[in-house]
Amino acid sequence: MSFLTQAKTKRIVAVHGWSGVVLGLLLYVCIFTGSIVVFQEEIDTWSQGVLTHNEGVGPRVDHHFRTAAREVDEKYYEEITIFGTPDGNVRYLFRTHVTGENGGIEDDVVQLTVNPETGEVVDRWEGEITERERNPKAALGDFWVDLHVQLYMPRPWGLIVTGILGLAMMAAAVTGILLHKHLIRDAFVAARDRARLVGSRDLHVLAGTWGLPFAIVLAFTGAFFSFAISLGLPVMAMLAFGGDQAALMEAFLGASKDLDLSPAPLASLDYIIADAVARTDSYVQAIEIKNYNSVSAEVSVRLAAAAGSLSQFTLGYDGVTRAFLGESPGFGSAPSLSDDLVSIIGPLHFGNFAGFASKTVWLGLGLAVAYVTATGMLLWTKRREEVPLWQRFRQVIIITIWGLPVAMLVSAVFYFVTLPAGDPEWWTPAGFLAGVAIALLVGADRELAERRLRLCFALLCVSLPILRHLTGGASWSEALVAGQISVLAIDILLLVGGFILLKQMRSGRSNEPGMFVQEPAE
Amino acid sequence: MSLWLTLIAILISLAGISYFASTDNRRRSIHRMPQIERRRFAWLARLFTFAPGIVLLLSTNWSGLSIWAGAVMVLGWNIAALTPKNYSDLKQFILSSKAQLTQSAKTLKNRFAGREPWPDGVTYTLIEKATKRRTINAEVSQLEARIVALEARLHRLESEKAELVDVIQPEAKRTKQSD
Repeated sequence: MSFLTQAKTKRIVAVHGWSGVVLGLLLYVCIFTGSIVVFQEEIDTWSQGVLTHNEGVGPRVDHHFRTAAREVDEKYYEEITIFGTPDGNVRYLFRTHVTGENGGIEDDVVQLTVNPETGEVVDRWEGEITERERNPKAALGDFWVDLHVQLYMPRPWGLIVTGILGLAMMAAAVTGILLHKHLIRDAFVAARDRARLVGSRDLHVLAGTWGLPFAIVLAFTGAFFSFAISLGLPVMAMLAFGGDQAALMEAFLGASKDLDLSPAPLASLDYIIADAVARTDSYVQAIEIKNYNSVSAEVSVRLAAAAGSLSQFTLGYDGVTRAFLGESPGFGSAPSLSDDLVSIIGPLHFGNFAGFASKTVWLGLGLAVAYVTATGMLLWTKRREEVPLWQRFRQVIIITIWGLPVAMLVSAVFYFVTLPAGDPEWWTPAGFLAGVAIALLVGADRELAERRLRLCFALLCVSLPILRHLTGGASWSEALVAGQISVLAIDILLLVGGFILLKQMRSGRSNEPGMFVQEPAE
Repeated sequence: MSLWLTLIAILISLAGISYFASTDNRRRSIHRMPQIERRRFAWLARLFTFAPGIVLLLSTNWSGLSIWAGAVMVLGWNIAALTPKNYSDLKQFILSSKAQLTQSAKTLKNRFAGREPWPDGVTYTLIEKATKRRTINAEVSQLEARIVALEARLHRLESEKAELVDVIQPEAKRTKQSD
């Protein structure tokens, strides 16, 4: 970029470097955990030892649904959602809106969990949705997701911080493009001697060049999710609608129609499901019924992304005449480009649009961006290695790079140990803090920090599948019989990864400078 | 089917990227390798690299296109990040692994056939015992068969001998009487 003067280049270097150094550690935590929780469903299956499958909503729900609905007060007929659960049951969520203690509108729900074969209600829960207890068995997956989404901070502060991190990442990516004059020319320059400064630069530049498009996508979509909920809606409502969020939603989603709540029977759900499946060649993930058993009843059928498509979609039906009303936009009152763009933000961020294949690719991309962040921070400190303060910061970076996976695995250890006692929700975050303490202790020696942390990580990788099995987790044979490959895949990945690391450390390679440490200094 | 097409698209693009990586003069000069005068298949490599993505785009296979783009970025980075020394190490590793595997298979076959001894160790000893037992059983069966055959032969010879005695004895009696 020859249009940049020396002074401008210097300023851009400062923006690129300082934004990375100030927020880099948190950014690394956010990106690394995000890469792992791409596999949240699989992690839940693995940690909970679930041997059943979420079958979605089957073709015959109508009879069982109507029978169950008779047991629920009519005031909850305002909105009903039907969806499959991971343990193979179907859940009916009957919902009405109430004014909460803080004056905001909250959902008051009756939640029935039903066996799809027999129609038997296996669980009934009532209350405001914000009070609903989390599933203690899902504590590990939930904690790792919280760590990624809001760095385990209270709302909305965590979301604001991760939103800022997304913007910082965008700034780093854009300034990186401006700074690096030979982006294409250097796309194949493998790192020279890693012990030298130029080698560190090569590592960062190469990973940055290849990971740049995804880094921008990830940063934008992540910042969108963080800010849309925490700041976007309240700020927009305040500026344009005098603080009236309901008016804002009406402007976005279209004005609500005049409702005729006189009684009328709901059309057959089985017919609607069959029609939706026939139109789309997909399967039903959820059904939403508004104003059940009234003239204004509407049924929306949410279907999984069809082959070749990125996002799921929703078909609308008249709840009484079962007439097909067309595809319902997720954003706005009519199909539009904004609706299309909003609908792909989720799949592009989560990478869950094509099952295991897309998740694996997204894991790789996420780890590549985490690597860029880590090597960038190390490069910055290497350029200032004569300053003791930066050397100490370098050690903190090393501890964070290896300490984060160590702490995550220690939280998993605490989860498995406390799962039989039924209290992993408190112990899993406590385990993470214990892991952080271990990382700080193990990494206290500057020379040996990376080697010791790698050893810790390898030992945890190898011991975790054994611990999972000893604490009552599903065995490999049970998982295979049930077709739950996730249990085997994660166990094998941990074992193989751990053994490879241990083998590397036992062989001569353990004496080499670490993956991130480039010693001796130039 | 869609996933297989995407996988093929990724492999084709990686072939193109590999060609670019192996013929990149800047990379070669940095790693002290001889320069290449000109890339003979540059257009073909460009076609290999980008055409699969264009095909996925034109066929509006959005999920395939996203997976292709992501995989090309990650794997392309890995291809570019390996130094020529890494490649030669990898090649050496693959060749030595192949040789080791062939040798191991041959040795295992010989051991099961009893042509080579098993090394010490509990598992090997058990296998060796089982193999030895099978060999001994086979030898015993052979010997038993041989014994049966020899016994039959013995029996036949004995009966032939008895017949010969019967023939000789009357003749001897007759000779005695005439004397």
